[in-house]
Amino acid sequence: MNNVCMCKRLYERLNKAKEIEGKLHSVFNHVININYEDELISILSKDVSMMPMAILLSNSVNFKKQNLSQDMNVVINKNNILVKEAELEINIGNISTWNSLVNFDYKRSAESKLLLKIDCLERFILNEGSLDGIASITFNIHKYVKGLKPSNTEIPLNNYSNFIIERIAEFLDYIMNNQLSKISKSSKRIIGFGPGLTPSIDDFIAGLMISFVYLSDFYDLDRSKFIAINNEIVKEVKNRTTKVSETMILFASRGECSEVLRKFIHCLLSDTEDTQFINCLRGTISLGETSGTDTLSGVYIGCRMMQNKNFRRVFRWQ
Amino acid sequence: MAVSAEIREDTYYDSVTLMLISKEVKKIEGVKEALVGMGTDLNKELAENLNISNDKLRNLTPNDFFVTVLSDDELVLEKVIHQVDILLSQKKAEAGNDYRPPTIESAINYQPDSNMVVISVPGKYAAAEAKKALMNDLNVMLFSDNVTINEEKELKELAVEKGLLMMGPDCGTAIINNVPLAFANVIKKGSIGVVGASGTGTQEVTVIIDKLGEGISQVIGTGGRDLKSEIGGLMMLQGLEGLIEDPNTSVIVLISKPPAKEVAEKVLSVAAKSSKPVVVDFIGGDREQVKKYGLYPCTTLEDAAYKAVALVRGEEVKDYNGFTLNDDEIEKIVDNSIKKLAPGQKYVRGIYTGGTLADEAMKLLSEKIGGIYSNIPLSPEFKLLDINKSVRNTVIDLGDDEFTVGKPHPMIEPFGRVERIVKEALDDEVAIILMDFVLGYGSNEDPVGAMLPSIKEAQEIMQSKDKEFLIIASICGTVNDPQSLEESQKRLAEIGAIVMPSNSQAVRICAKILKRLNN
Repeated sequence: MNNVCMCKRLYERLNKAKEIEGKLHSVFNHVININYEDELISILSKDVSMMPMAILLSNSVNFKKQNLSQDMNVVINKNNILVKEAELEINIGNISTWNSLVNFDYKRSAESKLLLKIDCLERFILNEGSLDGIASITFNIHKYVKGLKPSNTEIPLNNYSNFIIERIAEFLDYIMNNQLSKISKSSKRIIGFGPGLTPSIDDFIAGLMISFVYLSDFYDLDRSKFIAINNEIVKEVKNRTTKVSETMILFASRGECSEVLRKFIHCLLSDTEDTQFINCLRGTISLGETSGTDTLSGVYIGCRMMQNKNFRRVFRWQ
Repeated sequence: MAVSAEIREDTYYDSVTLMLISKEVKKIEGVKEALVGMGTDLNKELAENLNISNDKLRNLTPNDFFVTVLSDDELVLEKVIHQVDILLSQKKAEAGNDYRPPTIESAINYQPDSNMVVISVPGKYAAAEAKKALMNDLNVMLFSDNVTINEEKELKELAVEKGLLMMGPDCGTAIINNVPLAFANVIKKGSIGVVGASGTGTQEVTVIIDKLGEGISQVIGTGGRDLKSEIGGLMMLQGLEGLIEDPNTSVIVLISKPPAKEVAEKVLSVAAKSSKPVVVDFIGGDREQVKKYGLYPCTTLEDAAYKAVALVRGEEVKDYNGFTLNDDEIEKIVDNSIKKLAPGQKYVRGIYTGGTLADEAMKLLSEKIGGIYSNIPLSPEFKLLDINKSVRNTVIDLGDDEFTVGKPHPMIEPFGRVERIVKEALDDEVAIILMDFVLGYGSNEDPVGAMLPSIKEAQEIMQSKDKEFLIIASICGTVNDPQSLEESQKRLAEIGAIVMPSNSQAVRICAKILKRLNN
């Protein structure tokens, strides 16, 4: 019997529909994704961090050992998750819900503390991150985008970063100058790029968008303007990247993300002890192969953009 | 040049798999360029840019997996496809093993029946992580250093309260339930229990116990500061009490540098109450104090091992201060060694990776030939002014903090010793280079092999001056260690080194040669 934690949005769907039936989209060791009405629902083994539209089991499951394969029928209701063809039945006990919506329930720290943590984040990406994705851009992008605080270290760009840095610079430039009409076109030129099931750039953009939403609250700015930017970024994401990544980016545009990332953002913006902050950093950076590092790179760049007072001025409440 | 693409439509692999495939494919000989990823427009564009695209690739969708490779050899392309297949099916087989919990909480969640954690994080965060582990009823081995003494005291008090082990900080060696942890050797199972506040000291004792045919029940490390006044020997006592109660332990060995007086009294009085015999090596410490409690004091680490083995076997317990070889053989070695040296060559340079072994070397040498200069001197007047420059008779501990800032420990990577031996060869007054080679888990995969090129270079420098120096070495290792003990001994002998069975024997023969030289 699994006492599960279910995304509130999914729970509400189940309340209405009583039963959800979809097709297995992808099977990994600790996660399976189910295609349902053009969305992805994820079933997570307890080792994985809770995320939007997911069901987190209380047991450790290795899905790869369950004879599951793509396109199998999956039925989900409040009592069980059933994959008949694989003879898999996961019985559900108690259900607790998890709200994926943006959560501003944290105690804001002083900006000086935030700035120290941003410096720490930069060092952490450099020393403990996986730089096989596009994270090396983090340490070079200030040369291409006016108004960004220079990085404390420079490292060489890898092949991926070399190829894409100018396009990312153009994309960030449009955001820095609030040129809404150009953002969508420039994001089309980068989304889906890089190694990984969630391509590196997608993770970077997700981190960037989530940082905008949370930092708008931190700096007491008009969040709707950042949401507008995020909407432009994801306007034409459909079919430009993998389904898993598309789902992730769309949630990120609304500031919704996994629990581990949200916890990290709270740690970043509030008055937490160093050890707790480092723990949260470590938890995030270890996601996937490069995903964690690329996402944190996006958060980092978002923070640096927000440090620019001229940039923030545009997003004041009016 | 040809491009080949391996495509898996509508197929998803996790990022770890994709990265692994990317790295492995690029290693294949003959592959000029490779790209692994999902068939998004941008990734396809990159492939075009790198000239590794073809029609198959151009028609992919973002949900298709591809590997594309540029090579001038058709066979290479087949190799790539084959390798990708192997890697993908390997990942399936290893399906359970790729989750690596990044925090203690997630690790406990993942493996709730764990009862021990080994912690090695920067010192600033180490105490907090150790506390978290203890609060979750986990025994701790704390490899990290740069933990404050107050933090150490708090952690150990908490551990004692909970009946847990808090080994460290700066604890490098333990063997718990016959599992070597951090730097440790593969030692036979037996009935000798060890509590050690000294890493290589503990390794030397346990290795010799193994060589003598006996084994160990448990090896509990305490960290180097445990017997200071501030800590009061908390873990030494905890470990000692544990071994007293352990039915699988019949003889106990305690190893430490000389403790604070009142701490020594506390530990010895607890040991004295045990019905099990206790061998005490407070390296260079007060032997009379140990005798007073009816315990067995030692002259060297090797002596501690000999005494413990004698006690297990019910044999007479005697001081072991000699050589494994007989007197004639020893004299022959000394005579032959003297012949190799030129007038003016009169000094020893001990370049050690193990701190306790260096300490033991200094103590034994200073008894025979006077003051020894060092970065960790026995008396302040023998502190080297420049730790990178030896003076007269010098023994250095290359594992000390001064040498290891920002670098791996020399037992793992001997860069420091590689450079130092060549430097010593430039000094015409050097007669002997004294070295330790520590095998076992945690150490370099080939400690002797890593040093051979620089030893040869140093020998060549000496030869260019029509001189030679002597290399005297000991290998701290067992036949079951991952590195081959026999091979290591053989290769050192091949370059003319005098290989002795223990550090103390290596130092004693060194002292004999120097005394003869200076007479």
